[in-house]
Order: sequence, then structure tokens, then C-alpha cells
Amino acid sequence: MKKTLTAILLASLILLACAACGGAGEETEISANSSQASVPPVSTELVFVHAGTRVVMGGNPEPVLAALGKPLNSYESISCAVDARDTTYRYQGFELTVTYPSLGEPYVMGVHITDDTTAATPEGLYIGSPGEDIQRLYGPVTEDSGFYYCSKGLTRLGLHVGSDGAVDQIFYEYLFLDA
Amino acid sequence: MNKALSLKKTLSLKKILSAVLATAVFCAAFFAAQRLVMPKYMQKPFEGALTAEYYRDSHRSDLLIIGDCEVYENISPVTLWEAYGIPSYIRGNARQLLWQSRAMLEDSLRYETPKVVLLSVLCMIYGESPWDAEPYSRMVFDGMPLSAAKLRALRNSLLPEEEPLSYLFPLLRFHDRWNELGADDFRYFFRRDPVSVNGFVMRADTLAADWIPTPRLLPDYSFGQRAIDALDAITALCGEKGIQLVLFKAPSLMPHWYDEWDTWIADYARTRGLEYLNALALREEIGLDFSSDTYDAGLHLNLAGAEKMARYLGGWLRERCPTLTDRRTEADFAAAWETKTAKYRAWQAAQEHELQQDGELKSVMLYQALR
Repeated sequence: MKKTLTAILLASLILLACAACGGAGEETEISANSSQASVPPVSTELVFVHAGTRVVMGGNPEPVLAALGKPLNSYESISCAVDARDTTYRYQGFELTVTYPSLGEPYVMGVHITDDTTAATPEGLYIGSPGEDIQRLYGPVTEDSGFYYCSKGLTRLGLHVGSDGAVDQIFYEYLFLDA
Repeated sequence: MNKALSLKKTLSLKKILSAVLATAVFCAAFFAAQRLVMPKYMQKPFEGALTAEYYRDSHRSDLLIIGDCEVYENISPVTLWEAYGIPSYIRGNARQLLWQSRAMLEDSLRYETPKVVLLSVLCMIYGESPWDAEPYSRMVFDGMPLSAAKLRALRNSLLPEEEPLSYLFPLLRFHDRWNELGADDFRYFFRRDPVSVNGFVMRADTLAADWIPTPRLLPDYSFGQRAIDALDAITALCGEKGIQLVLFKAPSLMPHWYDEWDTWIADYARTRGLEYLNALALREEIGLDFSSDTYDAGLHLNLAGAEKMARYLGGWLRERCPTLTDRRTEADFAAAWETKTAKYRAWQAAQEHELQQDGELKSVMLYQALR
């Protein structure tokens, strides 16, 4: 009986030891998904440029924000219950969204061009451009439900042509989450 | 001969007893280790404690409110009681997906049958589990006892990389917390402190909504089939149980609620004889002022906003749900809600005191501090 009890205790100790042997490098708390937590790779192939400032999707937002200066507004969208947030900064003619993950470095998530007077793509497309300009400026693009997409690396440029035949939406987005 | 037989019997009995004892000790050690390493949710993210908290309540709700943060931070059950005598409970979690809401309803029906279910429809926008769903799924399910509804919802919720067994035996998921156990893990080994009043999470502070980002057009406004199936199942279940189902869009400004989504929900409700309240469209009528009634710039309401929302909702429900009667004159309900109301007011006073003193809410668990 003593031997049995010793065996039981040993088994219990082994169980507890197993419970304790989690990998030290693993994420150890409830937090955003590890893919959000790690530093994303940077794509430099499609960039938004405003007043000489290059905005690389997936890139480090700090120098960009410093160069762009004080935004007109900002909006912080905090994830419910987990310590991750997206902050959208509004500048004249466009909005820049930065993701601040719960772990890891912040990165530029996207740019949304919002008016036709002060912001355009470096290739010259702006809100109100004729829809035909899309192919002329970007070559073959993919079409899906009225949206046109040009992807390079992990950056996607999304464009929409309204019923009047003019471009009415332009956005850059970082494809890290889909990658 | 008899002696030998008796000895043999004793030996085999000993073996059986040893095996039973070994199994019992193993199970006890396993579940004790599991209980110790599981997050207690007594600090941020305390929303993870909401599911388990339900089972400690008396389960006497005429109105069951189910959904995500658009319900547990936006509707005050105490105001519903004080103004209309409607006993209610909110079964909500952070980003609770529709099929998880279905599980919440099915699970709740094991304990009580409400007269009306108010269902938040924001999570219709998720047709599949989002890429970062795992922490949220944990908060929904870890506090829920095992049931067929839980297993079904788990099947729908899990991401490909998730291990299904880890939801039944969370030790498999949380074993690596071993080396970071804190005082809370021992303090709350046997018990939990409340984090809500009937599922409502209070925030008395204010952060005005000055501006919200411009919504982008979407290539496709249709809801995912998984969400639609869950909504169908909830509708059918309510019909089967004689519960009036009401669909609800909270007045939160973000995430953006597209007109196309609203039309779909309104059509769905109309064709099935359900009521639908889009409180976002009625925010002026409700009296909501997003310079003062939100604590996070329009994502959620603060206490003042949640009380305004409840005051409007109670009247709206009274007109459309004849089964919701005023329970304030019933002694047992009145006594139970007197206690809840007292806790709610004490919680409010503590938050207001802290705001006055420090200018911001720093205590995550003010409710606990009151105990």
C-alpha cells in the first residue's frame, strides 16, 4: 500500500511539474493574438506620400507622425478587454491608422484618402479622377464587387469607382493580417 | 481453502481501492493545478469573469439581454428596475460572436426562462471567428459549465490553430502561467469577487466623441452564413420557448453601422414578426449626448449614457412586450433588487469619488474594493 501511495504522489508531482513546464518564450497571458503581437515585416513597394513624407504600410509610425505634425483630430479605438488599439489620425485630405498591438511594436495599418483637394496618390490618382485613370496609372488591377485592387508586397491599394464613373474611394491597407 | 480465497479477495479489493485512490488523487491534482493556473479575471481583462458571475445570481430575469460590449456597458439593469420594475440580466462578453450568444441563451435556459430576450446584432458583422478571437473566446467560455450548447459553440468558434481539448481542460492552454502566478491566483482559488451588477459593467468617467474616422465603402455588405444561422437558431429557440425576441443595435458610434446592415436586420425582423430597436438612429430621441454620455469617445456609453439608454429602452419594451410587467410591488423581487441597487449606488459613488479626487478612474476593480 505504501508503494502505491508513493507511486500516486510521484504521479501527482510529475503532473504538477508538467503543468509548470510551459515554454518560457511563449505568450503567457490573455492578450491579442501572437501574430498581432510580433513585429510585422515591412513592405516598401506601394507607399503613400504627403508633403514629402513617405508613409509605408506596416512601417514604423513614429517618424511619420513626427513629420506629418499635429493631426486635426485623432480617434482611439481600444479593443474591448485586451490591451490593443488602433488610432486614426486625421490630416487635411487623409486619415492615417496606426495599430498599437498589446505586445510588439506599433505599425502603420492604413491610409484613407478622404477629399479631392489636398491628397492624392504619388502616381496622381485623387478622389474624382476618371475611373479610366486607374488602369493607366497602375496597369492591370484586380476587380471585386466594384472595387479595384493593386497589391505589391504586403500593401494593397483599394479604389472604388462611383456611379458617375469617377474614383470616390482610395485607401492603402497593410495585408499583414491576411498574409 | 477459504482462508486463501479470502486473502485473494482482500488483495484484489486492495488493488481496486488503490486504483480508485490513484485516480482520485490524479484528478484532484489535475483540477487543482488547472484552477490555479487559469486566469482569474479579477484584474484587467475583468470582462472574463462575467460569464461565471451569472451562475451565482438568482436567475429570475423577465428580460435577458444577450450580446457583446454593446450591451454590458450600454444598458443599466438597475435603471430598468427602478423606472419600470423590469428584472433583467445581461449575458454579455467582449466581442461575443453570434454563435456564442446562441450558446449563452441555450445555457441560460437551463436556469431560467425569460419573457423577453434582447439580442445585440452588432456581431452579425463577424461571419467567421476573427483572427484574434482566441482571448475573447476564452472569456466567453472559460466560466461556462460544460453543456451541449457550449460544445456546439466551441466547434463554431475555434480557430484552426486552437486545440479543442484546451477548452475542456484549460490547463493545456494556461500551463505556462505557472511561472507568473500572482497573489490573485491564490486569493481567488476558491472564490471570485463580482465585477458587475447583473452583467452591467459601470464606467462613470467621460471622454467626449469629438470626431470619428470616415467609414469606408465595403465591397460586400452581406452578413456571413454562420452568423445568419446562429440568428435563425436563436429566433427558432425563442419561438419554441414562447420567448419574445427583440433585436437591438446599441447607440455606439463605432464600429460604423452601415445602412445596408440595418436594412437587412430590419427586413429580417419584419419578416419574422420580431421587434427591432436601432438605438443608434434614435440617439437624439433617447437624449444621448456624445460629448458627455460616453467614456471612450463613442465606442461605449458611460454610466449617464447607460441610464438614459435603459430609461428609453424600458418604455420602448413596455409598449411592445406586454408580458413585461412591473414587479416592483412583489416583495421578493423588491428585496432582491434593493440589494442590487444599493451595490450599484455604492459602486457609482466610489467611481465618482475617485473621479473627483484624481480626475480619472484608476481602479480597475472598484466594485471589489467595496466588499
